[in-house]
Formats: sequence, C-alpha cells, structure tokens
Amino acid sequence: MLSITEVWEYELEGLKLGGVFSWPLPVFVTLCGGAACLPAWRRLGFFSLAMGMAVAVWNAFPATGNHVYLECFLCLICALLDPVRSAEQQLLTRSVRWIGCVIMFFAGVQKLVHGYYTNGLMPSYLFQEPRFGRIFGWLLPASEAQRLHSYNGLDGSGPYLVSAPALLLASNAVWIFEIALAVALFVASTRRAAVFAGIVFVVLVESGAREIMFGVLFVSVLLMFLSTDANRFFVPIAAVVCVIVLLTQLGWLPVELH
Amino acid sequence: MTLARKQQVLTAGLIGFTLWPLAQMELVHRFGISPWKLAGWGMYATPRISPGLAILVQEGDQPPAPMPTVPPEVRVACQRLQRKRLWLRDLAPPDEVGRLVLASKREYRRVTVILLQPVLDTTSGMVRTEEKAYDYNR
Repeated sequence: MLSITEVWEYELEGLKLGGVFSWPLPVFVTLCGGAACLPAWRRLGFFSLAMGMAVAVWNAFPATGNHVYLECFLCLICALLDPVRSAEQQLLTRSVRWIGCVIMFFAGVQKLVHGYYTNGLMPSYLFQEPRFGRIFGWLLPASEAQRLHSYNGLDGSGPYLVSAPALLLASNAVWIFEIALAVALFVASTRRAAVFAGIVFVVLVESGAREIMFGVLFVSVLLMFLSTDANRFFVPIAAVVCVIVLLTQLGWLPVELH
Repeated sequence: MTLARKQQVLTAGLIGFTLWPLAQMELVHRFGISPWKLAGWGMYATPRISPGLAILVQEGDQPPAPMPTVPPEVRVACQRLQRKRLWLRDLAPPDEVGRLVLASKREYRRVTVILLQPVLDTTSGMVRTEEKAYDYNR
C-alpha cells in the first residue's frame, strides 16, 4: 500500500512541477500490490513490486528517499518468505526487527559522526525553515531566535552556534535516543517500552520533517517488535494517511505535506 | 526453495543491509556525497545546501572570462548537474556541461567549470564555500 502510494505520489509530484504523468509504473505497482494480496499470487506479486520499486529508485536517483530502498528490500523479503508457515513467519518478523534496529542505529551514528548535533548546529540551521522553526522556537530564547532568523544561510552567514541549553540538550538527545532505541528494541526486556517511545519519537520528528511515508513505514516496522499483530490495526490508519497524501498531491486537500 | 536455503539467502541480504551504511559513510568521507541518500540512514545528519556553479571560457590567448551568453541546453545541463551534485558531490563531475559549452562555440579553446559548494563549518558555525574547478580543453 505504501509502495503504491509512493509511486503515484512521485508521478503526481512530477506533474505538479510541470512534467508529464507517466502511467506504466503506477499501474504496474498497483497491479503487483493487488496480486500480492492474493495467496496464489503473493510471492510473484511481491517480487514484481520489488522490481517496480527498483525502477522507482532508479527514476528518482540520486534523490531517492531512503524509505524507497527500504520498501524495495522489504518486498523482496516478502517474496522470499511465506508467512503462512510458522517458521518463515518467525523469520520474517525477526528480519524486519533487525532492519528496524539497523536503521535506528545508523541514523544516530551518522548524526554523531558528522558533528552537527553535539554542538546544536543542525537544529539551529534548520530553525530557518518554518516547519522546523515552529518546533525549535520553543527551545530558543527570543534573542537567539532573532539572531538565527537574521542569517540567510548563504556564504559568510553565521555563526549558527548557539548556547541555549534546551536546544543543545534536545540536539544531543536526538542521536543518543536513536542509538539507545536501537539497543532497547534489540533487548527483549525493553522492547515493548522502546516501541512506544519510538512511535512517539517518529511522530515528533515527522511533525517537523514531514517525511510522511517514511514515518508511516517506520511505525509499521516498529509495530513488528510487538508480540501481537499490531500492524493489523495500523493498516486502516496507514490507508487513511495514504489517501490524504494522494489527495494532497492532487491539490484536493489544502494541506502542505513537504 | 527449502527453509535452510531461504535462511541463507536472507542472512546474506541482511548482512549486506547491515554493512552497507558503513560503505555509504566511506563514500561520504571520500567523495563528499550526502549522508542523506543512498540508504545510509543519515537523513538530517548534515545541512543540505544547494551548490552553485560558474563557467569560465577562454578564446585564443585571452584570459578566462565568464561565459557571455548561456545557451538553453547548457542551462538545462547546469540545472541537472546541480540536482545531482547536491547528493553525489564529487561523484557527479560537470563533464556534460563542459562538453556542451565547448560545443556551443568553436572559438572556445578552454572551459573551466567551477563548482561552489557552501558548507556549514562545524567549528566556527559559519557557512563557507568550497570551490572545485574542472578544466575542459578542445
């Protein structure tokens, strides 16, 4: 469902930017998605869907969103394994859980190694963007906010370094939380709490970043860590989000997603 | 396919999935590509600032000078390059732009494409521009 929405959204975005709508890929992935829902066609459907998503990766390369690679990989796993068989279902669940841990871990590590979070530079630079400004504005004193607003982000502007303790704390909390969450999701005793903390974190991050499709996909991955089949209840929510995304791309809803 | 075989295939895939971000980080380090892309999970790890570019042309023995008029096909190639360069940096050299500029006027002996990449300095917190020049000779 997410992959289908992703491809339609990409084509609609291109149309909005003055390009032409290319029908073959959206129709192909929609048919593959339909086939993947039918027991007899499930594996072929998922394999074809993975191929369709590989084309989507290629079409948008190098600007391809990371979640498109993820969708492609997950579709391949779904094509390989048969969840009707208990052993393979277990394998599928474990694989998706491992993938979730890897993503969270490297998201935190990358933030640490590039050096824009330990000193609060990244949030203070993002502050210039209205969607982030609304969030980080709470963490900055008025004088600091005014100073950051006066920069244009071009050569010679700055310094973006800030001394506001709340912003520095939040900036460091992000990468620490991501790495800690990867570990907490891995350890069985902390898994349940980590899932809920992770969902809250994703919702908070996406309220600024607005990477809606990544957010929905990752919440779904997080729900795989629960012993109950929580994704069954998440499907209708994800479906509503997908419809909202597509209606917004069509200009039928007055919402700004990106 | 047997369960054991599926397990082997899956393990190989997951090992690749786990190690790939390390390779992507090496690409970031070596070629300056953006941590945001290529499935390294480094979204929002660094600021993304669009690069700029300048084109200098040289006719005969004259010194290099800015290209006086930019033909539409060069403009389109420049826009395409800027989009690629934002994510791929040194893995996206301006060869196509250089070739098109050389082809646009027979008198051009040499073309220099200067790519301007603004970066946010982690020590000073200032935005500074890194320049990289690519020369193309007829």
